Amino acid sequence: MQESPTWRDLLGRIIQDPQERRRLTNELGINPVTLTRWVNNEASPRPRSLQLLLKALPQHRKAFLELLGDDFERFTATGMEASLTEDLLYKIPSEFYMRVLRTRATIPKVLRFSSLCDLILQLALEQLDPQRIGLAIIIVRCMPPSSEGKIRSLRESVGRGTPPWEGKLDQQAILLGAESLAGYSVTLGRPVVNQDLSESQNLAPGYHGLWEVSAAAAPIMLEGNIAGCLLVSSTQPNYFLPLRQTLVESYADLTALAFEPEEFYDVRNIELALVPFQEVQRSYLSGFRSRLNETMIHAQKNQQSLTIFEAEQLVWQQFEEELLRLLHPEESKQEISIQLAKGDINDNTS
Amino acid sequence: MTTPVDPPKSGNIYISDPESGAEMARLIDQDRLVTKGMGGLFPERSNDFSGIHRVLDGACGPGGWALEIAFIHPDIEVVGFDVSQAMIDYANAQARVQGLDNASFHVMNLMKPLDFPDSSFDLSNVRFVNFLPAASWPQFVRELSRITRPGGFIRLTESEWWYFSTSPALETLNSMVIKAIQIQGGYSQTGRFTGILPILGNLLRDVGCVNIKLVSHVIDFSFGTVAYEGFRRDASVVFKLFQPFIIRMGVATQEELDRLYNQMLLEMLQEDFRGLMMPFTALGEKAS
Repeated sequence: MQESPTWRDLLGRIIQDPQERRRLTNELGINPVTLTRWVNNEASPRPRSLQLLLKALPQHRKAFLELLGDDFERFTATGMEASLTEDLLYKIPSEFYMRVLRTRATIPKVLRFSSLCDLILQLALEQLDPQRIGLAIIIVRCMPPSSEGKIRSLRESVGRGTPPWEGKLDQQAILLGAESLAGYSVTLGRPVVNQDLSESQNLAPGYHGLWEVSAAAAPIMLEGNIAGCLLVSSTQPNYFLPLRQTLVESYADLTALAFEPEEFYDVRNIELALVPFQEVQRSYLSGFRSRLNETMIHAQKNQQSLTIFEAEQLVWQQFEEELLRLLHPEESKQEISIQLAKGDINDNTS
Repeated sequence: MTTPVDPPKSGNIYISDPESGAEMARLIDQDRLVTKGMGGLFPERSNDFSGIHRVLDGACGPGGWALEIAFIHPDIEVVGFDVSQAMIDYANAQARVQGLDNASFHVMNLMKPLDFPDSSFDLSNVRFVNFLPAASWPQFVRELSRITRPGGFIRLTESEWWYFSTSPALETLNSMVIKAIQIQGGYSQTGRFTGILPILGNLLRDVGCVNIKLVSHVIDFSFGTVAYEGFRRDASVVFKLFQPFIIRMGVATQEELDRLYNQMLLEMLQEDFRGLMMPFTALGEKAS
């Protein structure tokens, strides 16, 4: 009877190609003899070397994880997590909490949101993707309420990524609605996860963004009210194992410190609409910068005190109005009528 | 590095609060931007780390450059130090969560004798400490030479402070920082430049380095470039956090700084905004 193949057999086949062998030894920082000893079952890799091996062979990652389970259980997807110190990998270190709290206590108000978000996302990215397999983290915030006091959409705010995503994702920000995983999490007021966005039979919410294979979202909350959520996307299926989900929730809780108390909304007032696909949004948002400039210059001419951050919010509100009108023309007409009646907007917007 | 500026005897030696996560977050981002813009971790040697087993990053701040080497080269041991306990705690925590057991960080002051044995590093690196008092430079480069092995490298990277741009407000804010550094006792003769760039090669020569290379890099952060958003963000943080220092040195008032700061933010948003950063590296080999 033929024996089942092992991860060592698979590795042996891969390194038959001398170029691949050379590449692996370079990327793992090991001697070629070590690779041969692993293949021949004369030695076993340390966890870190194995993680580097999986990273160097993304096309074989799934096969390796399955085969490794036969050899030593601790290296399977769940086993790998158990083999490492949970406190170290899946709890936010106390130094990080101290740093964030200290920063919040001392930072000028104008920098509070951006600097705290930068700090938290830098930490979160390193901890959630230490091997840089591919992860994006975005802070998603509720748009200000409509004239009826309802939150109609969310917007991506500060974002960070490891390749294939760019390091900073702020410039790719779009609006998210009820159809998104972030929208689902905010509406429910609890964490949600989609372990494989590419599966056609998958009924969980969320759409399949570029490079995004699995995703998790956790609400950012204060006293039961919601300011938005932390949205985390991975290039890997089933990346959000229970311990990692908990870590995402912990970072969402920490992110609440970046928001002002009035930015948290009663969940009963969150009634997200559907928003247009991102391709449609991007063509609209290409004019964001020039509108921002116009808004700032207009404010300056009129000697109005308006910070860049306030101006950005105003421009986003204009875009939200226009984008929602694309999908919900009747609703938007009513909204505009209400606002006109209240004198909130000028007549020339229609 | 966390940035001492007042005379050490004054007790207040920081250009901004070393406990501030805002400065820490800024330094982490700046480190990545600059390393990428310069072409890597060791571009003067085409990022070739062969023959290098132990690396020192002096005045490492939150440890970005050192952690990156530790990640890419698991076989290299990386040691960093900084004067700020907060930065070092953070760098060590980062190393732990990334599983980088080849990186460690310690609290030490670049302006004092360093707690490392002679000839213990193959590469000693220090970047962006142009705020240091002029008198302290020869002493700390001598220390770097002592702890670097014969045949090893000493790498000093600096930049004029630090934006060349089409924004008048940004230029004015830059000149205020340089003026404040001059008052602090830096190399600047006129208050127009930090004055450190022409000195770097000589500092290495004076401690017996040979094969000295002087290499300049250009990072374009004009509107529309990859680096633009990061530099715009950096400017928005740095020129807010450094305001107390500029005021303390008597260079400008809060009202002047508020006006210039808002003007700078607006000018950097314009599509015709152009900006360059030009880091300059002096790399020397310690004579065998």
